Amino acid sequence: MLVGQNEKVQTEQWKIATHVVELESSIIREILKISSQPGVISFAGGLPAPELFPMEELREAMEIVVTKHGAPAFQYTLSRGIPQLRELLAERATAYDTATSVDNILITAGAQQAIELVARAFIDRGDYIITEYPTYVGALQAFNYYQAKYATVEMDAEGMIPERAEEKILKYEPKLIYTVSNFQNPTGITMSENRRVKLIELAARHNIPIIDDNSYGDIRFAGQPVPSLKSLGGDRVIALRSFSKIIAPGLRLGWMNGPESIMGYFERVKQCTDLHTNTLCQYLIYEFISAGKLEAHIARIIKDYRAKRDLMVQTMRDNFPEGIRWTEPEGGLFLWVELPEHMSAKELLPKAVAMKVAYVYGEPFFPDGQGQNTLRLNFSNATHDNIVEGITRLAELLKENM
Amino acid sequence: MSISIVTGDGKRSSERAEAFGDRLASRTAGMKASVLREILKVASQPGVISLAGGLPAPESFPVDFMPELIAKVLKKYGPAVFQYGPTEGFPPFREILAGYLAERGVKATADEVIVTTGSQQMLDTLGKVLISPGDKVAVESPTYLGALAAFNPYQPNYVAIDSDDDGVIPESLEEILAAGSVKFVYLIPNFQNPSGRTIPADRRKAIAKSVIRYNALLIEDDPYRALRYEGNHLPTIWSMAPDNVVHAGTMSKVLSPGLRLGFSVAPALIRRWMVLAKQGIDLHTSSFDQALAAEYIAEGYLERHLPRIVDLYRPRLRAMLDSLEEFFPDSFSWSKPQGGMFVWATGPEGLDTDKLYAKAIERKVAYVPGQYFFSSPGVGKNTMRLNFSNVGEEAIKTGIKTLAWLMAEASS
Ligand SMILES: Cc1ncc(COP(=O)(O)O)c(C=O)c1O
Ligand SMILES: Cc1ncc(COP(=O)(O)O)c(C=O)c1O
Repeated sequence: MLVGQNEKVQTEQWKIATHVVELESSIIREILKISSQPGVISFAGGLPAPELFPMEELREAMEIVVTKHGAPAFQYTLSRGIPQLRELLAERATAYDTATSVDNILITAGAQQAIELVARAFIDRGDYIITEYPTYVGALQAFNYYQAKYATVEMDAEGMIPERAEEKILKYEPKLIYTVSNFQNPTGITMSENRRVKLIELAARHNIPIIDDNSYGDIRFAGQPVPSLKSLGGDRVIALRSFSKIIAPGLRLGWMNGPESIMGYFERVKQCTDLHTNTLCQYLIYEFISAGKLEAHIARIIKDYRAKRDLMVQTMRDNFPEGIRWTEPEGGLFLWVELPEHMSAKELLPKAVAMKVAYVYGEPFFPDGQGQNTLRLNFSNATHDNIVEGITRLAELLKENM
Repeated sequence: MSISIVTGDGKRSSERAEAFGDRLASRTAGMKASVLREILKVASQPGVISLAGGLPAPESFPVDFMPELIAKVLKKYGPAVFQYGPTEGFPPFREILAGYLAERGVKATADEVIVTTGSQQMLDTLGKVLISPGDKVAVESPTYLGALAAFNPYQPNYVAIDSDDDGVIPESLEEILAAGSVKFVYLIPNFQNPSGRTIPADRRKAIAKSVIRYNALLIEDDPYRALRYEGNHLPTIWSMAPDNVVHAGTMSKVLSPGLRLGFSVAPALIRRWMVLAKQGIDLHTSSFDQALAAEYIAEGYLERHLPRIVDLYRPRLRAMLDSLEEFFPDSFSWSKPQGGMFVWATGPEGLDTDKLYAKAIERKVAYVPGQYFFSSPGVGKNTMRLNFSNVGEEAIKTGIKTLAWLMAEASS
């Protein structure tokens, strides 16, 4: 816990806004600190594999940016982003999703900021949001600032269950539906096509925007592609996208694709918050994609992550005791483990760290703090040897504590 | 609520998407398209001499250093500059900033420095963690428009501190603080945007005393400090009241605004809340850009480049002040800054610079009507902001001459 007793007193003295005092630091960040101790094999983070960063291609693109664009790449720019990149993203969306123009696109500092802009633009204190149960913890963090309330919807292997969502909509009249439709963080679950259609029908009946946090959609390494919510729902859907998992997160670049009529609001909100997203990295990514480097790079990532996931899943099958269930996602960075009801992943974590292996326990992903018997494992950022060794240690720990 | 099913192609949805308008938060629904944005749009028409902007000159960016700098960054830090990093900032950048800030009397450890996505984000996060609707925030009059834009969504009530040619009047601030319940004070001590004013040392001392006395919190937003073309640097308010002041700077005016790099040193508790807010806002600021700025400072590029920026802007400021002196009517006064990017001109009572704007555009010259920089409506109608950083000397002269003619006509 970040805020100790003493500081609480000072807080009042400094008169922090009332809605902020109740917030806590992200538990995940705290777990990451613990798990970064030397010698610990960590499946806790959500980092892409750094050895896959396209260093040489990025260096080349940077050279082009400096020589070809020069000063404009270092100047203030438009709050919606540089026109070249927006144009390019609109073309790509038109090819892969649905007819899209530059006026639908706004560049953000990662998908995280896209969530933040949605929260700012839509949420008044006490408004309800439909989320999956569990959901991305960073979204909860963004929404919490605006004192949102959550109407959570259970998932099965096909994602959010539409009948449950409808019950919640009727009961809570939510402002929006937030979903991570592809290879969800934390569960790895992907919403089926049938469910997508149903969700869009639901959103249409009740006139509620769907916010599709599609941060992982491009990283599919197994199974059949499912049409995106955006391609099925058009202006019903505000898609949040990111370059973090397909190029590099350190550039902090993502984008939103939403109905033209609403983008002006996001633009104004964006301007108040940081004027615009950093210009240099926008040009960098524009040149990287224009040089045709993106598709080949995504293919490399997919190949690498597929092998890691296969190895993790195989090691779990070989070593985990009876009574433990897990998802075997067809893409993304994470899989999700359910222990028997009586077990607490949170209580086991210190023992795991003592055995030099770490994970994130599930509670922070549940808006109501449930999910004691769940945990999330990341496979993108570990070596093959560490996956085998770490999962074997974890299996031992679980056997001892069943 | 409309009962209709959207078809799979989404074609019929646009008119209902309009209806998302009724889903907007009250703070958003109230945001109007900025009049100022329209003004700037007009100002950027070809052929117009724009004294309206607030941009650094593109020729002030060290583009010639960049290939070398980028190569160094990639070699030194490798993949780390492309990976997720700590919310507080890229550690080597915070380390360098601690040394850089010490030169201005802001003696902080690397742990006490936080990096934001431009100083704009510093303003936004402070608004976010400090302001509840109706809270009092004390600001200069006029003040930076972007600060008002950052604070407004959190619905503060502004209290204007009285100012004269030397910036805020300490007695006025003291009175406001004595009256109590001010959430924080927001000041731009050097070459203020928009007025060009600088608060002299004795006033800074008095301000520091007041904030300590009333245990107030003050934001010292200092983006223009390095752009000093004459005279000596003045002590920061932070150096006189470190426990009560958030000191903030930016790389926007000494390296590149497009990188979106700001930094601040704040009392421990405020800092912690800012970091917490930033986690939810954008996780962290671009690692690559931070590494670039770190090497820019550490490897002596800043030291080599800053004099070039100063040499570029000094004659532009001179040209503007000389032209004002030569051409402007006697009924006008204007600030005489020793640095920064702006000069502030005040005409006779009754003049309306907003109304005159269209005429100025007809004559191919643009400025920003001053009223937009005031927190209360109806104030400052006879004022205007003139930018000199992004215009060459000849154009400045021509622009000011044209404006002078227009102003003389309007105020006669
Ligand atoms: C579902 C989801 N959304 C958004 C983000 C934020 O990513 P970024 O801001 O780097 O795009 C993450 C990161 O892990 C995520 O898992
Ligand atoms: C007083 C003041 N504060 C903050 C800013 C924002 O600068 P940055 O680019 O660091 O966000 C500006 C920019 O013009 C400014 O004049």
